[in-house]
Amino acid sequence: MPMHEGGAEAPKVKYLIGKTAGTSAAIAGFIATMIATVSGLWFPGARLPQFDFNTLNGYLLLGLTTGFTNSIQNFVIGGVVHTIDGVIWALIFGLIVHPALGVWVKGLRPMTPTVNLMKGLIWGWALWIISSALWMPLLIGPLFAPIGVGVGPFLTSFGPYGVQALFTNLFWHTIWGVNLGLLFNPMPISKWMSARGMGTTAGMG
Amino acid sequence: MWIILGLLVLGVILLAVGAVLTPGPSSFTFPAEPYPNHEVGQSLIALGLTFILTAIGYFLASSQERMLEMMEQ
Repeated sequence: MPMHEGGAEAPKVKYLIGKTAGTSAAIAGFIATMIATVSGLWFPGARLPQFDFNTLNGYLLLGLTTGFTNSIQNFVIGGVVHTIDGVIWALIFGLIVHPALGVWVKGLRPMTPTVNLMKGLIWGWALWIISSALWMPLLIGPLFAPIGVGVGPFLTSFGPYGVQALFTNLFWHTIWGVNLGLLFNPMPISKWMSARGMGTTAGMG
Repeated sequence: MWIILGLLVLGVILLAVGAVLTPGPSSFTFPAEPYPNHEVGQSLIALGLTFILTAIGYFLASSQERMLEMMEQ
Protein backbone atom coordinates (compact mmCIF):
# COMPACT_ATOMS: atom_id res chain seq x y z
CA MET A 1 0.00 0.00 0.00
CA PRO A 2 1.53 3.35 -0.98
CA MET A 3 2.15 5.64 1.97
CA HIS A 4 1.10 8.83 0.26
CA GLU A 5 -1.94 10.78 -0.78
CA GLY A 6 -3.18 11.42 -4.25
CA GLY A 7 -2.27 8.07 -5.73
CA ALA A 8 -4.51 6.10 -8.02
CA GLU A 9 -5.47 3.88 -5.09
CA ALA A 10 -6.19 5.97 -2.01
CA PRO A 11 -4.73 4.41 1.12
CA LYS A 12 -6.91 3.72 4.11
CA VAL A 13 -5.86 5.96 6.95
CA LYS A 14 -6.24 6.13 10.71
CA TYR A 15 -6.39 9.39 12.66
CA LEU A 16 -4.91 10.24 16.02
CA ILE A 17 -8.30 11.70 17.07
CA GLY A 18 -11.67 10.73 15.58
CA LYS A 19 -12.51 8.27 12.84
CA THR A 20 -12.94 10.53 9.82
CA ALA A 21 -11.02 13.48 8.40
CA GLY A 22 -13.91 15.80 9.30
CA THR A 23 -14.23 14.85 12.97
CA SER A 24 -10.47 14.68 13.39
CA ALA A 25 -9.97 18.14 11.88
CA ALA A 26 -12.85 19.64 13.89
CA ILE A 27 -11.56 18.31 17.21
CA ALA A 28 -7.95 19.21 16.38
CA GLY A 29 -9.09 22.69 15.29
CA PHE A 30 -11.06 23.23 18.49
CA ILE A 31 -8.10 22.24 20.69
CA ALA A 32 -5.62 24.26 18.60
CA THR A 33 -7.86 27.35 18.69
CA MET A 34 -8.37 27.11 22.46
CA ILE A 35 -4.62 26.73 23.14
CA ALA A 36 -3.65 29.57 20.79
CA THR A 37 -6.39 31.87 22.11
CA VAL A 38 -5.47 31.35 25.75
CA SER A 39 -1.76 31.74 24.88
CA GLY A 40 -2.57 35.05 23.17
CA LEU A 41 -4.09 36.32 26.41
CA TRP A 42 -0.90 35.30 28.25
CA PHE A 43 1.48 36.99 25.77
CA PRO A 44 2.16 40.01 28.07
CA GLY A 45 3.83 37.52 30.44
CA ALA A 46 6.47 37.09 27.74
CA ARG A 47 6.65 40.89 27.19
CA LEU A 48 4.64 40.61 23.97
CA PRO A 49 1.53 42.57 22.96
CA GLN A 50 -1.62 40.86 24.16
CA PHE A 51 -3.56 39.11 21.37
CA ASP A 52 -7.20 39.00 22.41
CA PHE A 53 -8.99 37.72 19.32
CA ASN A 54 -12.14 37.08 21.38
CA THR A 55 -12.54 40.78 22.14
CA LEU A 56 -11.66 41.84 18.58
CA ASN A 57 -14.31 39.47 17.17
CA GLY A 58 -16.79 40.81 19.72
CA TYR A 59 -16.16 44.38 18.56
CA LEU A 60 -16.73 43.28 14.95
CA LEU A 61 -20.00 41.61 15.85
CA LEU A 62 -21.45 44.01 18.41
CA GLY A 63 -19.73 47.28 17.46
CA LEU A 64 -17.33 49.33 19.55
CA THR A 65 -19.95 51.16 21.62
CA THR A 66 -21.73 47.99 22.76
CA GLY A 67 -18.41 46.17 23.10
CA PHE A 68 -16.92 48.83 25.39
CA THR A 69 -20.00 49.06 27.63
CA ASN A 70 -20.59 45.27 27.86
CA SER A 71 -17.05 43.94 27.89
CA ILE A 72 -17.91 40.50 29.32
CA GLN A 73 -20.69 39.87 26.78
CA ASN A 74 -18.37 41.16 24.07
CA PHE A 75 -15.60 38.74 25.15
CA VAL A 76 -17.92 35.71 25.40
CA ILE A 77 -19.80 36.30 22.12
CA GLY A 78 -16.56 37.14 20.32
CA GLY A 79 -14.99 34.01 21.82
CA VAL A 80 -17.75 31.78 20.47
CA VAL A 81 -17.41 33.29 16.98
CA HIS A 82 -13.62 33.06 17.11
CA THR A 83 -13.72 29.38 18.17
CA ILE A 84 -16.17 28.52 15.39
CA ASP A 85 -13.86 30.34 12.94
CA GLY A 86 -10.92 28.26 14.16
CA VAL A 87 -12.82 24.99 13.73
CA ILE A 88 -13.97 25.99 10.22
CA TRP A 89 -10.39 26.87 9.16
CA ALA A 90 -9.28 23.49 10.56
CA LEU A 91 -12.03 21.70 8.60
CA ILE A 92 -10.90 23.45 5.40
CA PHE A 93 -7.38 22.26 6.25
CA GLY A 94 -8.34 18.66 6.98
CA LEU A 95 -10.73 18.18 4.07
CA ILE A 96 -9.11 20.30 1.33
CA VAL A 97 -5.66 21.76 2.06
CA HIS A 98 -4.04 18.71 3.69
CA PRO A 99 -4.81 16.31 0.83
CA ALA A 100 -4.16 19.00 -1.80
CA LEU A 101 -0.68 19.74 -0.44
CA GLY A 102 0.08 16.04 -0.80
CA VAL A 103 -0.89 16.20 -4.47
CA TRP A 104 0.90 19.47 -5.33
CA VAL A 105 4.13 19.03 -3.39
CA LYS A 106 5.92 15.71 -3.77
CA GLY A 107 7.82 16.15 -0.51
CA LEU A 108 4.55 16.49 1.39
CA ARG A 109 3.04 13.22 0.13
CA PRO A 110 4.12 10.83 2.90
CA MET A 111 1.56 10.66 5.69
CA THR A 112 3.99 10.76 8.58
CA PRO A 113 3.86 12.84 11.79
CA THR A 114 6.62 15.21 10.62
CA VAL A 115 5.00 15.84 7.23
CA ASN A 116 1.60 16.30 8.91
CA LEU A 117 3.23 18.85 11.24
CA MET A 118 4.75 20.69 8.26
CA LYS A 119 1.32 20.89 6.62
CA GLY A 120 -0.19 22.29 9.82
CA LEU A 121 2.56 24.90 10.02
CA ILE A 122 2.10 25.86 6.35
CA TRP A 123 -1.64 26.37 6.93
CA GLY A 124 -1.01 28.31 10.14
CA TRP A 125 1.44 30.61 8.34
CA ALA A 126 -1.00 31.01 5.42
CA LEU A 127 -3.64 32.18 7.90
CA TRP A 128 -1.08 34.54 9.47
CA ILE A 129 -0.71 36.19 6.04
CA ILE A 130 -4.50 36.32 5.58
CA SER A 131 -4.94 37.75 9.09
CA SER A 132 -2.20 40.36 8.75
CA ALA A 133 -2.83 41.38 5.13
CA LEU A 134 -6.63 41.23 5.03
CA TRP A 135 -8.53 40.60 8.29
CA MET A 136 -6.77 43.17 10.46
CA PRO A 137 -6.35 46.04 7.95
CA LEU A 138 -9.70 45.62 6.18
CA LEU A 139 -11.98 44.83 9.15
CA ILE A 140 -10.30 45.90 12.39
CA GLY A 141 -8.64 49.00 10.86
CA PRO A 142 -11.87 50.76 9.77
CA LEU A 143 -13.60 49.67 12.99
CA PHE A 144 -10.96 51.34 15.18
CA ALA A 145 -10.46 54.37 12.89
CA PRO A 146 -13.09 56.56 14.70
CA ILE A 147 -11.17 56.21 18.00
CA GLY A 148 -7.84 56.97 16.34
CA VAL A 149 -6.33 53.48 16.50
CA GLY A 150 -4.68 52.42 13.27
CA VAL A 151 -3.63 49.00 12.04
CA GLY A 152 -1.40 49.91 9.12
CA PRO A 153 -0.61 47.87 6.04
CA PHE A 154 0.17 44.24 6.92
CA LEU A 155 -0.31 44.93 10.64
CA THR A 156 2.79 47.13 10.87
CA SER A 157 1.36 49.85 13.10
CA PHE A 158 -1.37 48.44 15.33
CA GLY A 159 -2.10 51.04 18.00
CA PRO A 160 1.13 51.87 19.87
CA TYR A 161 2.97 48.93 18.27
CA GLY A 162 5.14 48.72 15.20
CA VAL A 163 6.20 45.56 13.43
CA GLN A 164 6.20 43.55 16.70
CA ALA A 165 2.43 43.06 16.34
CA LEU A 166 3.02 41.36 12.99
CA PHE A 167 5.61 38.95 14.45
CA THR A 168 3.47 38.31 17.54
CA ASN A 169 0.63 37.42 15.17
CA LEU A 170 3.06 35.01 13.46
CA PHE A 171 3.81 33.42 16.86
CA TRP A 172 0.06 33.11 17.59
CA HIS A 173 -0.59 31.37 14.26
CA THR A 174 2.45 29.12 14.74
CA ILE A 175 0.95 27.93 18.06
CA TRP A 176 -2.28 27.17 16.19
CA GLY A 177 -0.48 25.46 13.28
CA VAL A 178 1.77 23.31 15.48
CA ASN A 179 -1.17 22.06 17.53
CA LEU A 180 -3.27 21.44 14.42
CA GLY A 181 -0.40 19.60 12.66
CA LEU A 182 0.35 17.43 15.69
CA LEU A 183 -3.28 16.55 16.42
CA PHE A 184 -4.66 16.18 12.87
CA ASN A 185 -2.32 13.32 12.13
CA PRO A 186 -3.53 10.82 9.51
CA MET A 187 -1.36 7.78 8.97
CA PRO A 188 -1.80 4.72 6.72
CA ILE A 189 -3.65 2.04 8.63
CA SER A 190 -0.89 -0.43 7.72
CA LYS A 191 1.54 1.62 9.79
CA TRP A 192 -0.67 1.35 12.88
CA MET A 193 -1.43 -2.32 12.37
CA SER A 194 2.18 -3.35 11.86
CA ALA A 195 3.29 -1.16 14.79
CA ARG A 196 0.85 -3.06 16.98
CA GLY A 197 2.11 -6.42 15.75
CA MET A 198 -1.05 -7.12 13.75
CA GLY A 199 0.59 -7.54 10.35
CA THR A 200 -0.23 -5.51 7.27
CA THR A 201 -3.65 -4.65 5.93
CA ALA A 202 -3.29 -6.95 2.95
CA GLY A 203 -6.67 -8.52 2.45
CA MET A 204 -8.40 -6.19 4.86
CA GLY A 205 -11.47 -4.33 3.65
CA MET B 1 18.08 16.15 14.89
CA TRP B 2 20.41 18.97 13.74
CA ILE B 3 17.44 20.86 12.33
CA ILE B 4 15.71 20.73 15.72
CA LEU B 5 18.86 21.80 17.55
CA GLY B 6 19.51 24.62 15.05
CA LEU B 7 15.97 25.97 15.36
CA LEU B 8 16.13 25.75 19.15
CA VAL B 9 19.50 27.52 19.46
CA LEU B 10 18.46 30.25 17.02
CA GLY B 11 15.20 30.72 18.90
CA VAL B 12 16.90 30.95 22.30
CA ILE B 13 19.43 33.51 21.00
CA LEU B 14 16.70 35.69 19.47
CA LEU B 15 14.59 35.39 22.62
CA ALA B 16 17.50 36.32 24.88
CA VAL B 17 18.47 39.37 22.80
CA GLY B 18 14.82 40.43 22.61
CA ALA B 19 14.36 40.07 26.37
CA VAL B 20 17.43 42.21 27.04
CA LEU B 21 16.26 44.91 24.63
CA THR B 22 12.64 45.05 25.85
CA PRO B 23 12.32 47.33 28.84
CA GLY B 24 10.24 46.84 31.95
CA PRO B 25 9.27 43.79 33.94
CA SER B 26 6.94 41.28 32.34
CA SER B 27 3.43 41.68 33.69
CA PHE B 28 1.27 38.71 34.68
CA THR B 29 -1.74 40.81 35.64
CA PHE B 30 -4.87 40.56 33.51
CA PRO B 31 -5.55 42.71 31.63
CA ALA B 32 -1.87 43.46 31.40
CA GLU B 33 -1.09 47.15 31.96
CA PRO B 34 1.11 48.91 31.19
CA TYR B 35 2.32 47.07 28.14
CA PRO B 36 6.05 47.10 27.43
CA ASN B 37 6.77 48.57 24.02
CA HIS B 38 10.03 48.04 22.14
CA GLU B 39 9.67 47.34 18.43
CA VAL B 40 12.93 45.44 17.85
CA GLY B 41 13.01 43.69 21.24
CA GLN B 42 9.44 42.41 21.08
CA SER B 43 9.87 41.37 17.43
CA LEU B 44 12.91 39.29 18.42
CA ILE B 45 11.02 37.72 21.35
CA ALA B 46 8.12 36.77 19.04
CA LEU B 47 10.45 35.36 16.36
CA GLY B 48 12.54 33.53 18.98
CA LEU B 49 9.47 31.89 20.51
CA THR B 50 8.24 30.98 17.01
CA PHE B 51 11.52 29.16 16.25
CA ILE B 52 11.50 27.43 19.67
CA LEU B 53 7.90 26.28 19.24
CA THR B 54 8.59 24.98 15.72
CA ALA B 55 11.58 23.03 17.10
CA ILE B 56 9.46 21.55 19.91
CA GLY B 57 6.72 20.58 17.44
CA TYR B 58 9.24 18.98 15.09
CA PHE B 59 10.82 17.13 18.03
CA LEU B 60 7.44 15.74 19.14
CA ALA B 61 6.47 14.69 15.60
CA SER B 62 9.82 13.01 14.93
CA SER B 63 9.63 11.26 18.32
CA GLN B 64 6.24 9.85 17.36
CA GLU B 65 7.66 8.72 14.04
CA ARG B 66 10.56 6.97 15.76
CA MET B 67 8.23 5.35 18.26
CA LEU B 68 6.13 3.90 15.44
CA GLU B 69 9.25 2.62 13.68
CA MET B 70 10.48 0.98 16.90
CA MET B 71 7.10 -0.68 17.44
CA GLU B 72 7.14 -1.97 13.88
CA GLN B 73 10.40 -3.85 14.43
